[in-house]
Amino acid sequence: MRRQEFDAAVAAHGRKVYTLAVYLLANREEAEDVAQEVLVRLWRRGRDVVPEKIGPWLVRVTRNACIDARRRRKGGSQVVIDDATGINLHEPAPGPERLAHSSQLGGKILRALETLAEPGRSVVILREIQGLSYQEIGEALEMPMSSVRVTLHRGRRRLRKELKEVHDHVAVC
Amino acid sequence: MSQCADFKCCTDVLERLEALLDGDLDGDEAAAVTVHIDHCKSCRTELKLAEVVVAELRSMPDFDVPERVMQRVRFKTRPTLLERFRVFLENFRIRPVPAFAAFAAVALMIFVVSPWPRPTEPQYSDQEVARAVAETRLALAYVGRVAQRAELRVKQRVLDEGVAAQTVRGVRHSLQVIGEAGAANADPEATPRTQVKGS
Repeated sequence: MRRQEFDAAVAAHGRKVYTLAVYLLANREEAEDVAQEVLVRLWRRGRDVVPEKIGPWLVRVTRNACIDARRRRKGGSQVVIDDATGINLHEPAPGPERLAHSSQLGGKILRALETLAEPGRSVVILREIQGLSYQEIGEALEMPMSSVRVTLHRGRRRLRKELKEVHDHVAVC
Repeated sequence: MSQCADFKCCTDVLERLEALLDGDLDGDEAAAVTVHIDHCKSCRTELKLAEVVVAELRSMPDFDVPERVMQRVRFKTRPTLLERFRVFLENFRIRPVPAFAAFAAVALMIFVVSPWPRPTEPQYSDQEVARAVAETRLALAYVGRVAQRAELRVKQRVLDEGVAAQTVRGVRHSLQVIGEAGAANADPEATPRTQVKGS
């Protein structure tokens, strides 16, 4: 892969890679390591990837790297999300934008995301947080679109059930 | 759910809430679910919660790749000497015509603006040849005059210092010695010495 192509791919997809890693791992330090690993892999193996498929390829590689990273944790580095702020307490620096956005409900949702099994967690993140289409998610995770839809709805339903106990204050007409 | 007469009905509706939110239900099904929700407080609560979940998820921020990560990536992806050479070869393979044209242009430039002198046949005009001949004659004449002067000085010195007379005397003396020696060899008296020496 040429330097210009690599720089263009990083500019177009780097943010998505890092964001996906942050939400899948709920830990910025690990997400940084995964993002670095994925981008270096793109540099080394990018020539084997069709340029139009770089986006789905990066999502797939990032997700696999995150799954490996979670496996490596082995309970040594548990993610602890504060209920009040929604911030991972193991993060060295949460960042001002995250602090401003965080709410009690946001924290609960992040915590509930942790309970989702794969591929539900990835599908919810890719669809609802990152805004990918069903087709893009299907290409990235190598799933038919109908499966993506069913998995997404199942994941959101699970999140809703997890949050039901803490969301009794929602007004009902 | 207590207001819903048919529990199975609520279960069916709750399973379709996500599809309803995403607009994935067809017209009749969407209408039936909507009618049910209008009359079911529990399902309305669930729908509201589903909307909140989706809104909350969609409002979560993206994150830029930290600069320290990009620095590490740039360091790990810096091209090695071998990769630079490979890129050079690839460029040559992909665009051979411009590369060859550039090579030919450089070679031509080196040939035209060569720093090394090339041997060429000198071309002189008649005027230059005549001038060179005149200067050569003048130089030869000067050399002849210098030689004449040197000859005169040598002659003068030989005559003034009597070098010739001394030389003549030395030569005469030498000839005399040689003559006497020859006469002595021809004298018979001198033969015994030879004979003695020979015996």
